[in-house]
Order: sequence, then structure tokens, then C-alpha cells
Amino acid sequence: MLEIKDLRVSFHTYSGEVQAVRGVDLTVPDDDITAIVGESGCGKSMTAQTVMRLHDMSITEIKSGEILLDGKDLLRLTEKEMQQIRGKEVGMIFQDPMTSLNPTMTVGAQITEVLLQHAPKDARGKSTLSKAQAMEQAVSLLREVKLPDPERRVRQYPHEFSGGQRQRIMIAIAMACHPKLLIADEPTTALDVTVQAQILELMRNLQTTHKASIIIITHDLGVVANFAKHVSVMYGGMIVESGTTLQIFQDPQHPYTHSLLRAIPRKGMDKAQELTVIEGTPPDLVKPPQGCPFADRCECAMRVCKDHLPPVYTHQAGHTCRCWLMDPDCPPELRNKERG
Amino acid sequence: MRGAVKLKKYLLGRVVVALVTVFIVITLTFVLMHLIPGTPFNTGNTNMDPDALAQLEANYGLDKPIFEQYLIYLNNLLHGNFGTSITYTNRSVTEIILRSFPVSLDLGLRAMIFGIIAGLLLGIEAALHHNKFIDRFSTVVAIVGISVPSFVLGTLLQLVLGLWFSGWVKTVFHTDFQLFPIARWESFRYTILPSFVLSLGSIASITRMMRSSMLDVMSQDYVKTARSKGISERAVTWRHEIRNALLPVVTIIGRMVGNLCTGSFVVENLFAIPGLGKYYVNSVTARDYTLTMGLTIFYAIFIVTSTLLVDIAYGFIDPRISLAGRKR
Amino acid sequence: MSIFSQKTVPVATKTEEKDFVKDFTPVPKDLEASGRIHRRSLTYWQGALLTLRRNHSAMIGLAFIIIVILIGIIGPILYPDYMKTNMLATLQAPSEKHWFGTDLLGRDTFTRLLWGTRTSLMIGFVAETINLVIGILYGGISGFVGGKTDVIMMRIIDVFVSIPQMIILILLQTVMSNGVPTLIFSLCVTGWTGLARMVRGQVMALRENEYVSASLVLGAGRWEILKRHLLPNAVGPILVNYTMSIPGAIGAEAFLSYIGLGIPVPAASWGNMLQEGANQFPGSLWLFFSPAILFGLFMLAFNLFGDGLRDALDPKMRR
Repeated sequence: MLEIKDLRVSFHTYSGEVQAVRGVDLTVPDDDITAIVGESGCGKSMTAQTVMRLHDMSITEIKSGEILLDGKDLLRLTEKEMQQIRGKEVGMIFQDPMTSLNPTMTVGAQITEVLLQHAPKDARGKSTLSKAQAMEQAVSLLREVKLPDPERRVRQYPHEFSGGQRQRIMIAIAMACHPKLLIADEPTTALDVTVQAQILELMRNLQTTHKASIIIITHDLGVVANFAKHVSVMYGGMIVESGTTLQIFQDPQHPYTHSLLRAIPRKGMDKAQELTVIEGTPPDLVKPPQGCPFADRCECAMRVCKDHLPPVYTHQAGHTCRCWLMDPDCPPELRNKERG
Repeated sequence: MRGAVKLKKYLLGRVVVALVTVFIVITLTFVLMHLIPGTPFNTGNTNMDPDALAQLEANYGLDKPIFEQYLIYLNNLLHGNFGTSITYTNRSVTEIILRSFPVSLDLGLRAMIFGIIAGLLLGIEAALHHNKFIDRFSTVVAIVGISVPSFVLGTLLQLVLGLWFSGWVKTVFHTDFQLFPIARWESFRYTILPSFVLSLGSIASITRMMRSSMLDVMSQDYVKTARSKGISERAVTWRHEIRNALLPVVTIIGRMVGNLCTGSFVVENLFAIPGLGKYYVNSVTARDYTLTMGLTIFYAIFIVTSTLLVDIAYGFIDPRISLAGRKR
Repeated sequence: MSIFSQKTVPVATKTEEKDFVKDFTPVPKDLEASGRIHRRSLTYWQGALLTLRRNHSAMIGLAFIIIVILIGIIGPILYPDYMKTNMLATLQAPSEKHWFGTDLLGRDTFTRLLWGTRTSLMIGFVAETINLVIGILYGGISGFVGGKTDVIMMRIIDVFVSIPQMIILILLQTVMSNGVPTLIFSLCVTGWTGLARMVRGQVMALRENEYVSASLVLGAGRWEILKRHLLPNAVGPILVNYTMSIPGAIGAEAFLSYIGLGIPVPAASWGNMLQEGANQFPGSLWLFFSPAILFGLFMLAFNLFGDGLRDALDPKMRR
């Protein structure tokens, strides 16, 4: 199980310190798919990369927090210990399959690299896995991710594959050592719609056969609805609402979640029902607002929202929301406005 | 298999351009040399006996119509005959090339090897320690090496190491031994200073190129992927970063050949090294037209061929090249 | 080793505050505030200028370039006698009368340096300005006309690029009379190819661009498109290319003169002054060092400024 507690991460740019992650709490149960949803720049990718500690150490700064993987705090491991986690216990898939594979190494070499790295070592510190064995495993991995003709293709270079195929290869690399957790950072954003569905299907199948858990990061609620079991909605560097997919889609509490849902097209949508856009832009995290980050764009904003950050309220079991509307003192008629 | 066809087409195109270039250089050189009024022996103010002059010109084939001379010259070139030198009487241009080219090649290779090693090391170290001391140091080396031409730095080194330093050695140790002789090409000692001076430009440009190429590669997604596999930092650096960063640097090694030739014009004159460059510059100052012509053509063939070879090598190193021409 | 920052974090969440009045009065959306950007948002040129101004080495380089250019313009007017020989005062060390000493023929080094600066700068600027014009025209025509013309024009460039520039320079010095016009001419024979390729690339990219087709559909004229789309995109790279090529041309002059093929004495240029200085080694060091230092620093300044300009005009280099 992965638990993130009060994670705060900043990175430094020319124009100042960007507080990209401002206190994220997240629990990812075993054998399950959890989605983190939000607009670009809301801190979701940063959160994911911090789990793997892949961020650029020279400009990022972890201010505080814990990331517990089965009780072990990843943020307190040494770099050497962290290398034992990466690829072996946590695998990762990136957004753009066109650039995430090394162009000058064969696909086989890139898969065997991770296998050989994490193969058990014998008494003399030599890997018990031979290169030929690793290559065989690579072929069967490619077969597992449904890449046709794996025996031949394993010797090819990335530029000889399509985007969808490359993402399959990335999945093969990430799943090679059967990690407990797979982090997929916008895995389908750069792909064609038809290919998207296939990749998601593949990830779901692997998740069930390997009993792994997946964190999927996306801005696409459509992906979430059919794929994830739990959803956390991020905005302005924090999680504003969190619950099961059913709870979020059927009984959303946060006005931001409402607006997101109104912005996706649905089957059988009335012509009169127009897709709405969320007006305005997200806050600049160089100087994040004191109060609720969504207050300036919110239909239901109140005075309290401007100056005070709302606490996390529990709506139902497993369904939490960071919004002043949830406050017991808040007049109930205001709460209904958002549904109008 | 489609890739192989494209690769063949790409190589063929490069070879054709190279051949055309060499042909144009030959023709251009020939035409330009014959635009000079009079002949090498008769610039208008000699008081030579007209009969002897005519005899001399006939010896060099200068009495024939220009187009015929051109065809003869082309034919001779095809047989490896670059003509006869005018100032070095009775020495053929081919002979001069054969004797002096190995010296230049020796000098050039030393400079190139040293330049590549030093440049790559500096560039990689600079990128790995971005914004640290070594990075700043290599930036200074690169900018000074690119800005200040080697003949200024070379002259300076001759003065400091060749004259002042050996003068100091003489007064302190009472010996005429010169660690860095500033003239001639004899033992290893003699090669140190000229090779270093000749390599300065290469060091600078390779350092700069390697540094920026490394920094570029280091920010690529696939490096992040490599790191996400849990492999050691050293493996990330060697297997993923340096390997990819080297690719664009290989292309400038082709260009380096030309720069080294140019550099050798100066360095060989500066250090009195009997290489091709020294003969070339001398032939121009002495108006030895056949020698200038022969050496120009030889240089052109040499530079064009080595650039071509590097380009072809590049096509084999980079698996993506077969797709579409050259990147960047 | 901990990866945490050492600083303590004062950003305690406001939720911890207990004693404040929760004011649930509704307020309207404040879209303007939502979009408020706390980093400066600048246009391309403003950003470039800002980046350049913050680059100290580039600014020092620019200041030095301007000073040297002024020296090259004004100096020779104040000190016209650069050819006056004085056999009674040859190879004199620097003194109050001759600031940088005198040469083998008793000519004043300081005066010659002023004139040499003028010669070298003139060659660099004139040659590269001509190259600029040729390059823009050639590349522009090749890109705009396209098709077969473009293919042929680019093949011609391929050939030009393969011919080593120094060989053309030396060859032309042999054939034509030595001097400034020959040097400028030979620098212009091959010097324009890089720029032509670049301009063509910009034009081609523009032709493919959707917004240009859109403007064409909307009835914008060719000139309008050139002005609105091509210039802003191409001016940056052209400027960088121009700046970087000038030290190249000046260096080529110095090189040729140094090996005795460029500007012949009694005219003065940085290259032939360097040569005369080196000939006097190990004596009369001022003859070598006065042009060497000025020339070296000028080349350094130009490269520093050029680097700064390139970084400033490349949005990717800015953070």
C-alpha cells in the first residue's frame, strides 16, 4: 500500500519558487487502480515523480511529507536504496512514448537492462540471469503486451515502432520485474483515441494478472470513468476531492469537480445542454492564493473562501472534500447553487 | 528493407555531391590560374631571351590552347600527376605531396586525437557538474579557444615556453636542452607544442558541442525512463547520456578535418615544419602556380573525402539516419 | 543524506487557525484575479532584451565592441600619419611620445593600431553585410519559388559548402591583387551559404504553416505575410548568424595577413601588425602584444555577445 502524507514540493524557476505540491495526502490501496485528475500545472505529475524521486534535484525541493510504500518512507531512503525500489517495486510509464525510449538502443536491450539490474545476485555478486535468458524474458514480455512478432522486433530500434507500440514497450519495461505499483503519468494523452482504449485495456489486464496497483495521472475524466476505482481531483497543488469513482461521478461535492464533469461530453446529451468551460485560469503557484485556490473561478465562492483555506471534510465513508460548502455552519441553500 | 534503400540513396547523393565539388574545384582552380595575365615565367617585366622563354613555356605545355591544356591537366590528374613545381626545379608536385603529406598527417592526427580526448572529457565533465567550477572552466576554455585564433595563442606559447622558459632553463641548469623546441619536426619533444596549438580550436569546439549535447540529452525523457528502471547513476551516464550525446559531436569531427588543414597552414609555418601547409603557403607567396594548383586540388580532394567518410560513418552509427537525411 | 531542504517551512495551512469568523456571504467570481500572473509576462523581444541585459558577460562584450568600433571610426581621424616612417626612431619601446612604441621603420604603433582597427573592422562588417544581403535574397527566393528551382539552388549551395573556405580565400589572394577589396570579395564568395540555408528553412516552414494559409485565405497579401510572419520569426536567427559571422571574417583577415597573403604593408591591419610583431621576437614585444591584446579581446567580446544574443533570442534557453 502506498500512502502519501502532507507532501509539499517546490521547484525554482527564473521567476521564483513555484509551490507545485502544497500538502497532498493520498492513499493507494493494493490491487487497485487510483486516478489523479486535474488540469496541467496542478501538481499531479510532480506528485507522481516525487514518489519515484525522479525530479531534477538541482531545481526541486521537497519541503516536507512522507511517502510510505508498505510502511517504508521513500523520501528517507538513500539513492542506492532508492535504486532498489525503482523498476523493481515501482514501475513508471511516461506521457510521450515517442521520446521516452532511448533512440540508440534496441528495444530488447532496453528491456533486458531492467531485468539484469534487478535479477538476484549470487554469492560473488554476479547476476544469476544470463544475457540470453534476459533476452528470452524480454521476448515473452513483448508477447505479453501483445506486440506481434516479438522474436524479430526485440532487435529493432524505437523509431521502427508506432506510438502505441512504443507505449506497449514502455509498459513491458515498467512491468518487467513485476512491481507492486505502476505509476502511469498521462499514458494515453499522446496517443490516438482508438489506441488509447487498447493501452488502457492492456494495463487493466496486466493489473489483474499481476495483482499490482496502478496510479494513473490524467486530465481526462473519460479515461477515469472506465478505468479507475478511486479518484482524487487535484487543483492548485492540493487534492480538493477524493473518493471512489462512483462517488465522484454520481455525487460530486466540490464545485471544481462539478465544473469538470460538466465539461465532458456524454452519450445521449441533450442538444440544449451545452458543454461548459471553466472560465478563468488556475492560480499561479509562485504566489498561491491564501484561501481556496479555486475561489476566484468558483460559482459558489464565499467571503471565507478568499482568505481561508478550507479543511478536509468527510462527506461519506471514503469520500472527502476540501470546500467550505461542506462546513456544518454553511447555509444549505448555498450548497445547492452549484447543482443549478 | 525500405531503410536500407534510403540509406543507399543517401550515400549515393553524398558521393555525387563530393565528386561534383572536386570537379568544380579543379576547373575553378585551373581557370583562375590561367586568368593571371602572362605566364608564370613572363609577367611582363622580365628581360629573358624570348626564345628561351618560349622553350620554357613549351616545356610546361603553356603554348597550347587553354582548353587543350585543361584536358591534358585533367588527364594527368587522373594518373596522379599534379605537374612540375616551378620554384623547386625538377621536383614534381606529386613528389612534394608524397614527402610532406605524411608530416602533416602525423601532426594533424596528433592534434585531432588530443583535441577529441580533451574536448570530450571537458565537455562531459562540464555537463555533469553543470554550473560548478569545472563547467565554468570549460566554458572559458571553449570561448577563448573559439575566439582567439591559434596563431595568436601559438605565437604566445612560442614566446613563453620556447623562448622565455628555455632561457630560464639555461640560466638555472646551464644546459641548452629545450623541452619545447619551437622549430622543426624531429623527436617527440618537437611535436608537443605544434600539436597542442593545432588542437586548440578542436578542443574548444568539441568541448562546447559535447557540453550542450550532454545537457540536451540529460533533459530527455528517455534518461528519466532509464533512471526509473533503477539502474545506477553511472550506467545512466554512460549507457544513455554519453552514448546519445556523442552522435551530434561525430558530425563536427568531419568539419574538423578542414579546420585542421587550415590550422596547419599557420602552425607549420610558425614551427618551421616541412608539411603540406608550409609548402602551400610558400607556393602562394612565391607565385609557384603549378604547386599552388596541385596542392589546392589535393587539399580539396582530401577534405571532401574525409568529410564524406565521416558522414557515411555517421549513417552507420545513428540508427535513425536511414530515415531522412541528416538531423540537425 | 536527506533530500529534504534544510529550511523550516513556515507555510502552515490556514486550516489550523481556529479563531476566525467564517463569513459565508456569497461573492461573485473574480475571473480577472484568477488569471493574475505573478511572474512578468513579456513579449518575445522584451523577454529577449531582458535576458540579454541580465547576461553580464554579453553586456561587457557589447560595451567593448562599441568602444572598439568608436576607436576604428574616430582614431584614424585624430592620428592620420600611420605611414610616416622615422629611421632615427626605429623599434622604440613605449614612451610618452610613442605610447605603444615604434616598429622597424620607426612608424608609431599606436597610430597604426588605430588604422589597423579600422581596416579589420571594415573588412568584417562590409563582407558580412554583403553576405547578409546575398543570403537573405538567395534563401528567400529559393524558399518562395520552391519546386525545381529550389532543388537546384540548394544543390549549388551543397557544392559551395563542400569547398573549404580557406582554400578559396588563398586561391583568390593568389589570383587577384592583395588588398581590402580582394579580401572582402573572397569572404563573400562562400560566406553567404549558411544564412541562405537558414532563411530558406524559415520560409519553407512558413509556407507549411497553417496560420499563413489562413491569412492567405483571409486575403492578406504576400508582403503582409512577409512582414507579419516571416520577419518576426527569422530576424532573431539572422541577427545571431550575422553577429557570429563577423569575428569569423575578421579572424580570416588576420589569419591571411599573418601568413603574408592578406593586407600588404604599409597599410595596417590587425593581421599584418601581428605578423610584424612576431617577426621581432623575442625583442620589441609591444609590436606583437598591442595588436594581439586588442584583437584577442575584441574576438572574445564578439563571441560573448553573440552567445548572449543567441541565448536571449532562443526562448528555450530562457527559464
